[in-house]
Amino acid sequence: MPLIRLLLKYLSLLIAFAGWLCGSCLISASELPKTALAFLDNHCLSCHDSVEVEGDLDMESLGFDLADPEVFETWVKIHDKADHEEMPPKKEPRPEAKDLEQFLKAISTPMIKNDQERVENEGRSMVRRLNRFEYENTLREILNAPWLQLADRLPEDGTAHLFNKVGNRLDVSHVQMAKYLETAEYAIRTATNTVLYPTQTEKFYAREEKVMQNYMPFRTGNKSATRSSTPLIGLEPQPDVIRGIDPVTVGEFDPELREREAFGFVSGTYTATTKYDFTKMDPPIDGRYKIRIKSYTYRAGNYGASGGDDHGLTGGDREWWRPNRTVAFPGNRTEPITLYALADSGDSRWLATYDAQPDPTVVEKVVDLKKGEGIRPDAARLVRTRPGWKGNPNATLDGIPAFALNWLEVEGPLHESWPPPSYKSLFADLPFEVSGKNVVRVISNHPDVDARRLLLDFMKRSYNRPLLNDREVDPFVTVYGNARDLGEDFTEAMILAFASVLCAPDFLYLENQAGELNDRELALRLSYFLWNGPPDKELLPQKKLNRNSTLEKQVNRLLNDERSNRFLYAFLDYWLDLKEINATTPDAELYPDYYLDDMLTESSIRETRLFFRELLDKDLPVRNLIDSDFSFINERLADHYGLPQFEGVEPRRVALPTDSVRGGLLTQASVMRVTANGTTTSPVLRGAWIMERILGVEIPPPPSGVGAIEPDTRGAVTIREQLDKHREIQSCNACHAKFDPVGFALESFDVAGGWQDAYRAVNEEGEPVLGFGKNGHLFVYHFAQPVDCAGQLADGRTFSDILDLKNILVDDERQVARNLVNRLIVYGTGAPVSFADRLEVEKILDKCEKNSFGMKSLIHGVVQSELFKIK
Amino acid sequence: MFISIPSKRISRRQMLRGMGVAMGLPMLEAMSPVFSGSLKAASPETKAPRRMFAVCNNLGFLPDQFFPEAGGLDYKLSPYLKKLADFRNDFTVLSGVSHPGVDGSHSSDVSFLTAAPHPGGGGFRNTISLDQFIAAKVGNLTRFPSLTLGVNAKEGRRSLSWTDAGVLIPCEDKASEVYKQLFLQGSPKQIEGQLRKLKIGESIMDAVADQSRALHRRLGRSDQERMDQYTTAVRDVEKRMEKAREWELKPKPEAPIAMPLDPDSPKDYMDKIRLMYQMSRLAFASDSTRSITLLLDSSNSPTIDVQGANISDGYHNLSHHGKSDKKLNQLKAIDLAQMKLLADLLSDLKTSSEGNGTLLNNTTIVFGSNFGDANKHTTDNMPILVAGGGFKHGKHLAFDRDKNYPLPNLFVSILQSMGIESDRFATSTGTLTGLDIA
Repeated sequence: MPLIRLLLKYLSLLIAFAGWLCGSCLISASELPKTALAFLDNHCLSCHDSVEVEGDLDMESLGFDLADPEVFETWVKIHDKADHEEMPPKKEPRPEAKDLEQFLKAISTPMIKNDQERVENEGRSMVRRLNRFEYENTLREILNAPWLQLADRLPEDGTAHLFNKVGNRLDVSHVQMAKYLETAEYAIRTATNTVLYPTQTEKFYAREEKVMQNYMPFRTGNKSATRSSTPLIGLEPQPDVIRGIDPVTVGEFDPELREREAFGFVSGTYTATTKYDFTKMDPPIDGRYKIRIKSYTYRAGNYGASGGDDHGLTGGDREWWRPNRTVAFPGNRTEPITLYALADSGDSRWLATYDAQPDPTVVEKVVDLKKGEGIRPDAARLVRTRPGWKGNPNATLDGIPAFALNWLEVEGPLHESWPPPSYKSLFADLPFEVSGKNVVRVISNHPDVDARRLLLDFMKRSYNRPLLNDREVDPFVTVYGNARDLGEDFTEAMILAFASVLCAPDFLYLENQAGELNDRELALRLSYFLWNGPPDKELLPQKKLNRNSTLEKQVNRLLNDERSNRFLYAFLDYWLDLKEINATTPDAELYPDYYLDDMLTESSIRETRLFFRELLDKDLPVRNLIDSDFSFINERLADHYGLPQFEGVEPRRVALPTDSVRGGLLTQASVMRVTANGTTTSPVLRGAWIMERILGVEIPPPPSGVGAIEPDTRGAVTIREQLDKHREIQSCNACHAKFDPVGFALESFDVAGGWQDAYRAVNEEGEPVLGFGKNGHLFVYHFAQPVDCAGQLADGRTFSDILDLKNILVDDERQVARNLVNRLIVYGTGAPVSFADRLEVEKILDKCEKNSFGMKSLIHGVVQSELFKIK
Repeated sequence: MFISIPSKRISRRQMLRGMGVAMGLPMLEAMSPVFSGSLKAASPETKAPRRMFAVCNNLGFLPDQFFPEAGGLDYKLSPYLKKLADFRNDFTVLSGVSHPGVDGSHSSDVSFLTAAPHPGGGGFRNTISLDQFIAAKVGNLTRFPSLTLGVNAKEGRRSLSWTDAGVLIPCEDKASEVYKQLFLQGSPKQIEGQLRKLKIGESIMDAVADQSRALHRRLGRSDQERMDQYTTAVRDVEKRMEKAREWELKPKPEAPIAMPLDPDSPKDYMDKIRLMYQMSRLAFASDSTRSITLLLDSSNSPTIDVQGANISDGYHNLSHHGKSDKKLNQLKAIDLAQMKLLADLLSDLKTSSEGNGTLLNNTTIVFGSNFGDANKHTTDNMPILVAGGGFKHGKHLAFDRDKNYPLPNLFVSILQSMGIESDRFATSTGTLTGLDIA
């Protein structure tokens, strides 16, 4: 009899424990309530005993030692399975409602109590170090250097519950420590060296850039007009410059003409083929720079040549879609231009976008550059030829759309004051001189006194806690002293001592004492939540911050500040995997219309960010995550989504037609992209992802040893047909029924979120669709099997397509809100929502229900809840 | 004025940095410390040193081309293994092996040398990798306890090496940097400067250790455990700095070849592999380290150049071949080029004599992938080759392809062959059945 065996087991355990447990710590350990015992015996143990161990669960030997986190977690699962009526299985007799209720209460009461005691003693969260983005933001603030880029110098952080915010996954080892030393020194040195470089302005003419000159003459390796540059004066091509008869520029002798000289291109930037990088510039130090770029659009004439003896200007092999480099017409549209920072390594970093106009226009942007970086403009809409190209998807018989560059002017590094604030953040008012070649020497008449004073001030600003007394600076003064003894000068010794402050745990770690957070601790928690960085001068000294009215005011202030974008981007990057968007790229043959299309990728990310920003700013209901009547799109997404066309690269708020499948996160290009692999979509992976990330349904990992689906792009069999075999197996379907259906509805969206009625395939059988890819290749894919996007949810509700499905999902807005709140709590407090915390979450939801779970209200709710205010 | 000078692409500082001198504080990842004085180990050992070199291509190999059919000694070489025909008796090929519980699709390369289960799961924490385990045992004998290398790996974001706390050790992607670390000797003045920096570094570690003790006292029990990790890290760095100072006083080995030129594009994937193989061989030959890992981050590679083949699509996309013949053919060309490079490495090691044997005898090479089948994203039936290291080779060890044999057993065999006492590694159940010391 299992019941008796169990009873005996618990009894003996209890006796054993009682022997040495003092009264106060007797957290009802090991004692499974009797009512629960009877329920288990009736409904669970026939499968989940030591003999059957169904689903790897052996309740007989599990015990009820809630102090053991694993045991606790298992009981949470048991509770939830019973509560959601997933267990006992459908084929078994249902427990009486009142028995079930009694059982749940019997186990949840001690569980909640246990959980609360843990929180009381240890707090919800644990001490944790800053993650690499927080580290960067913190140093930017301390060093008054908002342009500082440090995150990429540190190793990737571990994640738990999706986010890089949880203590036990933010590890430190000698690798991390060594990187901290290196990075801190780099940051301090850069901040100091800003005094070497007063702001300068220099202009770089396209005509004088080697890279662009290289694409002008035909030579071995390039005999094609499409990949070439065209020297222009306004709309007047200069074939004799190409031929080498005229000089490539008039230079400073004719400033007026020089101003109008340009290089024109019909290609987008692609490293291996055509590029128009400005590489003569050489920012002397990391910093903030103002760049001005003069450019315009035009149309190159048709029937250009490839080959020929005269650089294709005469002779050669002519095609209508090739640009004729002797003919230029006024532009008849704007061109979206992306600007990247270009590192020596060839890596590029997105900086800004703008629309080049038919009239030559100067555009100004303020950007952060690293030392030595160049600027890479990319006319993002234009063709990016790859070997074997046979056309240009942008070409028309009215000419070939083209883009021309006059010059780039760089002003910087910009300093708000002089000496630069970053220098003053370290050396305050001490004067300096420049010695030798670019070496800063800080001048101090009382070096040892200054060292102590400056280090103390720096410590006060960088430590996460108030100093107990001024003697705390002693160890760092010792570092300074040792360095001096070893022969370093004042400046160098100070740089090393400053760096060592930044390696101390009081800078790197966020620590709290169990119980209520004090004002300072709460200020830190709030700013690392909503700014992903340290508090400012207004937040830090706040008194009685934990009053809800004060919190509300501060949260509104923080969210209105631009720094809240750091929270928003980081939260979305981790919650929705947006940081992974380039992990796979669309397949060249199946998706030539997306292949190499960086503008599509970048626009997708911007849409999701702006969309979320809008929900926050306007406190819009959470159901917008499922479906909304607006989104933020630019011309690329308008085309991608089949919405009315317009020109312009900057995303704008657009009202969606009522019958649009767009609106909400589910059908945004970014989300569809990260849930596919570039070649195929999978309703399993997408469905599971959506259910988990957006609807908060826990999806167990796939069991090992189960046959995997083998993607097949030959078009004969659809993924759904392959899956159906899998789903017929009862043990598979138990889980798959939870998430596949959503995936089925989303099969209407291809690997980049474009609408599809049928799957694309590449084989000899089908007639390829007519068109050219961005790579200039003729399409080779054709449409094969139709998409079947209907399905039935686990609860029996059926849908015929995505519109239907959204209508169903939107009904459960409380669950969508609950999931979001759970995520925000992990992100904001560094600890997941535990069993006892659930009650608090429901309180937050109750409070926000009246305004349909407004997104900003949810954040207020989280911040004002007890969960946020305690360790 | 930003005056652009021709040499700006390699600044003086960068140059010096390569020589391990100009930076204020020494770089101290697994890379940085240390190297024996002469070409041969400074240690008093008489036996030839034992080494391990592990290579993982994280997009795998086409299984039907890689695996031979029958097992045993007289198995028929598969199409890929034919490239290694000359070395048939120098390697063993495994089939039907995998790391128990390691799933998680692309993320599984993090477990290639750690065998930590469920790398894709939410609560995943990695464990120590084989190379770091070896480094902890014998790393003190060489200038570099281990080297962590990569080809096309996202800068600092991926590698095969993990510390015992489960922290990633960033990899070096440039062969020239490895070369500089191995062979370039600083001037006496530079060495003096480096020693000074190391001493200051040690005093910095002292200072922060003080702070951590004070913090420790303020914390609750579970938080104290977290802070112990920090304290250990500080102590580790300090020890490494001490060690680095010792090595700094010993001259580096003479460079046997000129400094390699780094290919300038990730398209030159094959060339980058070739150079990393070469650097690894030189590192072993000069006994600069006993433990090297190399991650071939194919997932992060673009459309690569392969001699004699026309590769039209990104490596990652090709791996999702969806049974398209065109893609399969391109993948075959890539895989065969990989096997050719491996054959060249084996040849180089076998022709380098060391003591009474060859470098190959004293070096175990583990070559393979975390993916059994990239198209299916499956992590069972991993393709694995073991070469050299003084094992009896020439076999195909064919295990059950439905119920895989635990691969960590291989790691235990390797450890034992290196004279490292150990009867367990991660989820091992023993040593690898059928792989014996010659």
